[in-house]
Amino acid sequence: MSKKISIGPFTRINGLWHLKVEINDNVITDAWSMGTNFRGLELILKGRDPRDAPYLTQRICGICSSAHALVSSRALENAFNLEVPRNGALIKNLIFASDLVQGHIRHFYFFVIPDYIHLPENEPFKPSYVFNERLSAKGKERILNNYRKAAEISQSLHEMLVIFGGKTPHNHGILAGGATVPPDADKIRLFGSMLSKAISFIEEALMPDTEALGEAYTEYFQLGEAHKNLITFGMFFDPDIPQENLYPSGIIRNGGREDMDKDLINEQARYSFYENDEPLRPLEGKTIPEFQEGKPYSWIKAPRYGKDVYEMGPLARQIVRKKYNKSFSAMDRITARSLETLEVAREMEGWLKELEPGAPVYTDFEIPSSAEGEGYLDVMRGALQHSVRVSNKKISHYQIVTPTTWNCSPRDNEGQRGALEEALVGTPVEDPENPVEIGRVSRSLDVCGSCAVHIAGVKGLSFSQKII
Amino acid sequence: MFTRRQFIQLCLKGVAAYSLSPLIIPRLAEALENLNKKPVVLWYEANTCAGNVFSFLNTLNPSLLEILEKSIDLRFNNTLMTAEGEQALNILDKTVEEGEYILMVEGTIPTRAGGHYGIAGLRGDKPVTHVEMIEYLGSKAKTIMAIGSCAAFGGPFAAYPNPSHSVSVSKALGRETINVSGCPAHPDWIVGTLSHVILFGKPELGVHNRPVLFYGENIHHRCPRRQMFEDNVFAKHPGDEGCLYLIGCKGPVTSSDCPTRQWIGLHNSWPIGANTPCIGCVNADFPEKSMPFFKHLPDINVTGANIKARTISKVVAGGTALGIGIHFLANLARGRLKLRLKAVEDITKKTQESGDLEDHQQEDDLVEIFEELDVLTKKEEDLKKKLKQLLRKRKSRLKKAKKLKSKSKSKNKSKKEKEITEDE
Repeated sequence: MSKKISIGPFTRINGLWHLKVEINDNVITDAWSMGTNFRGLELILKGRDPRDAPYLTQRICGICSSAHALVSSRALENAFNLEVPRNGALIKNLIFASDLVQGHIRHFYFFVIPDYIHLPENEPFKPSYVFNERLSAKGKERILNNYRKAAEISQSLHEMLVIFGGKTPHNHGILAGGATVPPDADKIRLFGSMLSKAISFIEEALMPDTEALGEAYTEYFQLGEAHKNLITFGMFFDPDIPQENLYPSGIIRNGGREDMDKDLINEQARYSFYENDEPLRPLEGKTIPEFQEGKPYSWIKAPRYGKDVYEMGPLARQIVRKKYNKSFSAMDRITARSLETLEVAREMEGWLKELEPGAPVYTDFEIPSSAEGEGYLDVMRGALQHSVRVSNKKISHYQIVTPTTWNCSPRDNEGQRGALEEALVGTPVEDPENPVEIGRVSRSLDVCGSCAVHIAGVKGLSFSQKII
Repeated sequence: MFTRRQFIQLCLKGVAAYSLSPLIIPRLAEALENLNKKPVVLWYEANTCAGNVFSFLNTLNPSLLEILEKSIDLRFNNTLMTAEGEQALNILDKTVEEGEYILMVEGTIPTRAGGHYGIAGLRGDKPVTHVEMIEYLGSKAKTIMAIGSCAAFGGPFAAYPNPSHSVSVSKALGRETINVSGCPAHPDWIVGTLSHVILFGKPELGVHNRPVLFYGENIHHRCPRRQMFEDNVFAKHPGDEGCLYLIGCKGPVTSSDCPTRQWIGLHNSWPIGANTPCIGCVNADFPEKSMPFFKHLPDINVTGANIKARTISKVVAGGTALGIGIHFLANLARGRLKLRLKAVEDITKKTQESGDLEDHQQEDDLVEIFEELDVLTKKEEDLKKKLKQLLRKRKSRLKKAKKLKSKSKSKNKSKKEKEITEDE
């Protein structure tokens, strides 16, 4: 029996996303992942003051705003050849890491948990799909209790971000050239005390809850595998080596680790709403096709590494760094994310201790009349790339490729499915009227609809007037 | 039950005491007990970064879960809700059928290509655009709140060249919305406005339909660094302590309670506290008129300190001796400028009050005045040059005079100089 299910909006993610799956005899046989909200920030950036980019690009995403600020500042620092003071790099890391830990905690409790546990029948927690719960009553109670605590802890992680960032979402503290809030004893103490509470929560709630979930749903350690190709650009600023990342970059292919060659990254657009031969031109004035085979169905493009489909995120980072070595399944992604949350939170304690009150945090600079730079850095959901070209002290070209465009891409020019689409294929659906399995697999990839839709150009090409 | 006046006092007090005051929630719950049911609220995400919903999650006192459990019947919220796809759309259908709900919208409404630049959901195979959805939801909403600058005014994604032809909610619907602007809006502004709507109906709205309660006061007036502005202590780059006016602070043209409320629930800091300029994210013309973020405002926008700021920037740039000369000239020019400045202020005020930025007559007037100001500024520069020349001449003449030891000659010269300056 064949059945097609459309899920739009696909909720409990950041921003909007839509999915369509085909189910045959209770197994998903095909899937389409659709990013359908176009804003075109790169076009808006053109002609602006390059210093504005870290602030403006943050507006892409509400849950990972600091990630865009960070990578945008890196791209500008690369273009202008700036050296960030040690303190500045540490503070940038602390701002971004608080956001990362906040995002991972909210993802686990707010986004993932409702696929496994029925929340109390309180709006907006009803209705939900009907499914059998496997966790014990006691286990469930503990997780629901931690759901409440997660709301508090994630809030306080954003309070921490504000100490060095001024406000959040869309903080002011990360700029090209460094950070803007000089650390003092008071700030360090306040940050530290909130951090230690967050660490206790991660140790006492997030880790055991992740483990409990994995134990109750062992089949998800087999389900939701995509192409088994992973990629990471490396994460965090190395405070000691300017423009280097603290965690290494790398790829996993055929089960083995290799170095990453960024020149192999390309974007394909046959199934996106852009004209094929002129991939930069959004389709104008035509109705969006209704999922006919071989027709475009997404505003996002399909980034590829060479010809292959790669996925990214905490699992990729953990495996490349040899911190995790199990498999590529949905539950592996969730487990790796929690492991990373703990590791990063502990790392933050170290950075906090290294802060030096009185030492500079920012390097002032003059905008050169022309420059070109790139920022490659892993953020919450995977590898983020910002590229900038400056002419006459203005941005003449800006390009952003976000993790969700990789993970949730549509088919590429060869017709290969994106990672999310591939992960869904083969997943059994017990009751097609209550297809909770779709969410369990899809949310493991931490979809971010806000970030995804960008009209990044194929390498080497620049935007032209015909876009308008 | 408490009165509207008490509520407003609580909101204002919250600034000094603690967040939106823990006093509100018990009272809100108490007040709501008198209602038969919790008010129905839909939180709709249009084309957005979802920053405002995360700001809403960041509410501390009252906390998010308190609000959900005690105060409102939040039926639809893309970020938190358990339902997805068809189930989620059914919630919307049911609520629209019932009517009488509060609609909170964040994000812009993209209108290009028949709205296909922004898809809200799928009904079977058919995509539903934000344009269609917002009309559908707006049709039966009792109150519409536009949360964040995108929904309120268009925001960053409607900035030039506005690739998705995005518009604000009120423009898409042709209907007044309560605008809780900000990029994102402060959690207290969201929760405070919502509470007012539930308990007392529409709050008093000021410029651009924003609640006066939170957007009534100019940032520059309340800025903790105002004294630094007065004392000419200016930051030279971001991260420098001092008034941030010269590196782009838009506080003087921005109205919100940020300086006193601060972010978020613990009131740790705010953009100026982080040694960076305010970028005026609550303004109707954000980000267009705020950019470049690090370039200072045309001095004309600073009421009462117009000449001063210009002078200061030159003092900083040009060294003290020259600066004093300019200061002297500026004082002369001020008398003449004063009338024109008043006219600009009046027009700016009128424009803000009417909320109509597309009034071309007023814009033309402004352009004319700015042009005139440019002429005056140029005159100021010319005067500066003349003064320099005169000083140089006088110096050489004084030398000559010294040689000639003729007192009367030098007296005439200084008289002549005085005449020229007065003429200008």
